[in-house]
Amino acid sequence: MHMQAYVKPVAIALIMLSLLLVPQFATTYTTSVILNILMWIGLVTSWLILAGFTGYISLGHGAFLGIGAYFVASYWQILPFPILILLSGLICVFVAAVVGYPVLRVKGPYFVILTLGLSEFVKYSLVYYEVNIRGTVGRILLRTPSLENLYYWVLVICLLSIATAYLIKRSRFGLALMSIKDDEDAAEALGVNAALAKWKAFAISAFFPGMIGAVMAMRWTYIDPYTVFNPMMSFQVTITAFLGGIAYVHGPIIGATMLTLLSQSLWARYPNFYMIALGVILIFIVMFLPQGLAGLLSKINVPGFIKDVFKNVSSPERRKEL
Amino acid sequence: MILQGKGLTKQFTGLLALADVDMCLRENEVLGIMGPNGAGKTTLFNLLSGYHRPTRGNITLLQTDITFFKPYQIVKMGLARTFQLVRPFQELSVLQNVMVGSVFGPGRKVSMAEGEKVALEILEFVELSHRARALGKTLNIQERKRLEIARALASNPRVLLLDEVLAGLTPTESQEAVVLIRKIREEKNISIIMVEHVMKALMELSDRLVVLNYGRKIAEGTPDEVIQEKEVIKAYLGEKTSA
Repeated sequence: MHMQAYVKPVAIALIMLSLLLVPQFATTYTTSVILNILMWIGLVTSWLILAGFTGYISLGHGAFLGIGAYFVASYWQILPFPILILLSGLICVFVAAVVGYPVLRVKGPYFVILTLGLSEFVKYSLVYYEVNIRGTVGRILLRTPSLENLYYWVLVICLLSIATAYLIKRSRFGLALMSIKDDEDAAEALGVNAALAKWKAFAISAFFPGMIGAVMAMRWTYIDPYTVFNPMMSFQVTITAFLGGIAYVHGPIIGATMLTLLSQSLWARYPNFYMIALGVILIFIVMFLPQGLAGLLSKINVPGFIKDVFKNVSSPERRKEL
Repeated sequence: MILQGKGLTKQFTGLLALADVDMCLRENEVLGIMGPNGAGKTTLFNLLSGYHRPTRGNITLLQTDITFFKPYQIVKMGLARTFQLVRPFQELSVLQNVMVGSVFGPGRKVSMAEGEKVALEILEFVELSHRARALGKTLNIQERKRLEIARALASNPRVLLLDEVLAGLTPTESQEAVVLIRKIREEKNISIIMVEHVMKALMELSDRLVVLNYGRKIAEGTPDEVIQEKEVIKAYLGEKTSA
């Protein structure tokens, strides 16, 4: 019995240590794959701060990534890198706050379509600016930081987003958001300022993709509106979230790891097949796994430490049952 | 006078749902609202709790004009409501359901720890403690009604609006609910307005009754007075043709 209490912290410490050591010991290829996984975990976890808690599915999350990337591309070698990353995040918070106020009044499918429309609007506005005003197609970034350097930045941002989601889930704010998800009118009748809570969640969730976009711009070294504002990014965030299970804080970790490994193994040789696989996975989750892989994991009897690692991370009522 | 509505009028497109209704609620009183379907009872509740804005008229709660307050502001002022179609938060536990009320309902900021303590007391009060860890969606209709009341009570209100809390209950369950409503009034010193179709319970519980028909107030008084009013009999039973 006493042993079990140590399993979770020890496992987490081991995972953390190995993540810290990756750039020192792993090959460049492995490091870049893990960096990609961490990027997706950060994107999906931050997306869930709005979608997971309140049920407002945004298809505009990728736009914040693009804004962060473009901001860095514009000021690269003018401002120091850490400042650029932080500013990218803050600018996205600002954009989300301005856009979110009217947009979050729209509910259900209309909200989904509106966020997609807005991110396309940003993309084509930027295309227009690049082509007609600057006379360029995209931007090339020179003298970017090393892979190792970027890896640690993504790791920090990713952990920060997980910690944020975890803390929100246990807070007053989290309780307000979860009540909105089930019934916004009933939540208001009990004193929850739903408009304010959604607005805050949207702004917080935009902070992380902004920073991730800033770091990834350095990784990609070439930026143009069509690639960084590709709606596929937003779609994949959503698919990854549902694959992992949107009700669980550890859902994104499972979903992002699975999908990134799948894409790495298929993308190089059968690029079209990856898209087909993504479609099939989506259909499969919707029909058979509404709780995602994390939901599946909580139902089946997983032997060993895996379940111990995850069991305290799941919902509060389950935590109290144990 | 704890709550007062003056000249309350609500015009929907093509329908006058409520026409120039005056009403008031006294300290520690149970006020029953009755009337046939479509009489404007729920509209009145929606105006009082901020879900609709009156076309004309104003509402005063504890000396404050709340006519244009939003629902979440009105709870914090001390007026809580239940919904006719009970709406538990399905994916939250019963305790968390009540905590939404105890944490966000009061006019001051309440911590999660304090909110949990209050919520547990309220669950004890409505006799739902044994279900505290169950998810909202697993409750049966009687438990849902109790949870609905518990959540509203958790905001520590001065005025409680009960929208058909007896509907859908068996006669035994209904009697238990009547006992609970009495207990709320006696132990919590809360003034209650209730809309109810179960006439027996309404007669038993109310100090005064307001009768609505086609959006107008047609009678007001003690239960005994009201059931003798010609207008009321007419509204419920129709007019005698051979007089």
